[in-house]
Amino acid sequence: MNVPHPPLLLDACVTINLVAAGPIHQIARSVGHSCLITRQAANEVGHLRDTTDGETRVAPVRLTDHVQTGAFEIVDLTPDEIPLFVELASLVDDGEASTIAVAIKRGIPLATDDRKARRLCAERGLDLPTGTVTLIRHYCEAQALDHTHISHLLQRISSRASFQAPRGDPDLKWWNDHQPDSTNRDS
Amino acid sequence: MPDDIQDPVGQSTSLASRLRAAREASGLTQAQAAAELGVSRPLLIAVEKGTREASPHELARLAEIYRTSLSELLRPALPPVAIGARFRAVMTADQRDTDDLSSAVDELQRRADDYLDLLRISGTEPPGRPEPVRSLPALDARRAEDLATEERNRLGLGDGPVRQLREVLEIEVGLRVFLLPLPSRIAGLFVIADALGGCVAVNSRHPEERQRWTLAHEYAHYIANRDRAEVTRLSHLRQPESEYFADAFAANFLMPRSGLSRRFHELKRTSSDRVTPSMLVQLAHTYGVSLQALSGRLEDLGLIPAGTWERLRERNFQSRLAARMLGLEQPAQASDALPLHYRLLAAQLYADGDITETQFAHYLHTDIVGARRAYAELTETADVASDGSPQILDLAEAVG
Repeated sequence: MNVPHPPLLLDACVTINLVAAGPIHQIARSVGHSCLITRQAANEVGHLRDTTDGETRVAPVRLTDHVQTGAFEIVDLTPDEIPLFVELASLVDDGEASTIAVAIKRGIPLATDDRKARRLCAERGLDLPTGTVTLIRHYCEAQALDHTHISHLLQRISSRASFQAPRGDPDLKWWNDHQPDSTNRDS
Repeated sequence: MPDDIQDPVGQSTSLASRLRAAREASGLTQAQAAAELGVSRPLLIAVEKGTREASPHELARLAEIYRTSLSELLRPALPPVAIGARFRAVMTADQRDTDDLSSAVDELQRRADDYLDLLRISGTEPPGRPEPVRSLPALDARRAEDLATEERNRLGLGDGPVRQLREVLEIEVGLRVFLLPLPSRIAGLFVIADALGGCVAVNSRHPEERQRWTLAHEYAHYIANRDRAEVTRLSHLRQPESEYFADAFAANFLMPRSGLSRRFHELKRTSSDRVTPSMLVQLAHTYGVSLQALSGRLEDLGLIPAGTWERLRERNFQSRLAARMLGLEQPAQASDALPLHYRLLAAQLYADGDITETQFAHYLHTDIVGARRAYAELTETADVASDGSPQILDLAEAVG
């Protein structure tokens, strides 16, 4: 039986990476979280880039579609979260400010790869946030995906969202080992 | 103190000024904004004057009403509103394109505000060695040539073509060059923003050769009469003396008499002492100017008969087609809307973790994925790694 996990707050940068990966609903379910994103962060997600026959086109991200599948829930700030949101918005963008404010006020863990946001979380006493690579790794391990499938998944994130794993990411080696040109065949 | 100085000011002063600027940019009156916020007009006026502090809830709501980001409203320095004020003084002289121009000026002001914010965060100064304005007894063609020669000598450019014109003006001279989609009959804008220096907007919709001419033209305004904002219009109507001067400067700076004459005679000698259209196309390509600009310059120097360009035009001579047939590549369109230093500064701040990825995207006027792609381009070097892949310069490591 699955033990229900607390919800996980995603910032805009992690969200677009997970959407780029493809099976966003399965990723969210496999990590045992219900994924939340603040309205401010949702407004900052932007577009993916899809390349076909060497031509790159902008692909809109329809978060509302993912909300309907249950992969995401978009949350609005409550009145008691607004003062902290305003305070943090003088330090970071509105999406990160709202995400961190909700994480602090509601005691919810969050996922971000952003260096400045992670530093701010540490300064405000939040637990170390998780990141894109760790979430994807959990999904791949839960699904027991082989090297080829993992490589395809990572390739989609790299090409559609132009994401590269941050230096210092705890799962950087796993990410590098599963790149398409890697000789590692462990899954 | 000039009103666009970016020295730290009281939070309430900068916030009040930014709230007012954001409301004006949204097109709302004070009464409309107050009604949307659910407060009285006098209360909103007090907030915009800084005599009443807005509550956090009011601030968050105002950001929504004005369709701007809260973090932008909370920047701790005054917005460079003087840019708009200086242009408004010019725009009243010509009401025809005021509306089109107003949005372009607002856009230039926003770009300048972003640049100033990057400089504030980094604690650095913009590049360039600003020269004092030249005091000229008259703005005529002879003085334009003298000034262009002086500037070329000062910048060590010799008398050859200047291929990297934008880089020279941004880095050596200290002009901040933005490419903006301006109304079609506007070639460029020039204004001084006290804390940033000379700011130039070039019409991104114009061809590369025209953009280079506009840049050199605005450069003339910067060194000779920088006190007032300038709008460079494409017009056959009589222009102010300063516009003729700026065009003469542009012609001399882009195509110096000695170098152009030498190249012209060399090409003529190799063409059996004949001047052919293909020779003119080749010269125009070498100097990065249009065939019309080159022909006009050669006519002025007495190297080709007056009316040559008119005759070519009457015969429907296709200079672009001729250039292609001669195997001359079109000049690479300088498509970067923002100054190189601006983009590198934003990338460095992002690499250092001083701004978030979304802030980086905001400064580059793109979205998150666009910012990631721009970062990769900005950090890719001309070198290749041992496996032949592009070499990426790790900005975080490079400064760490």
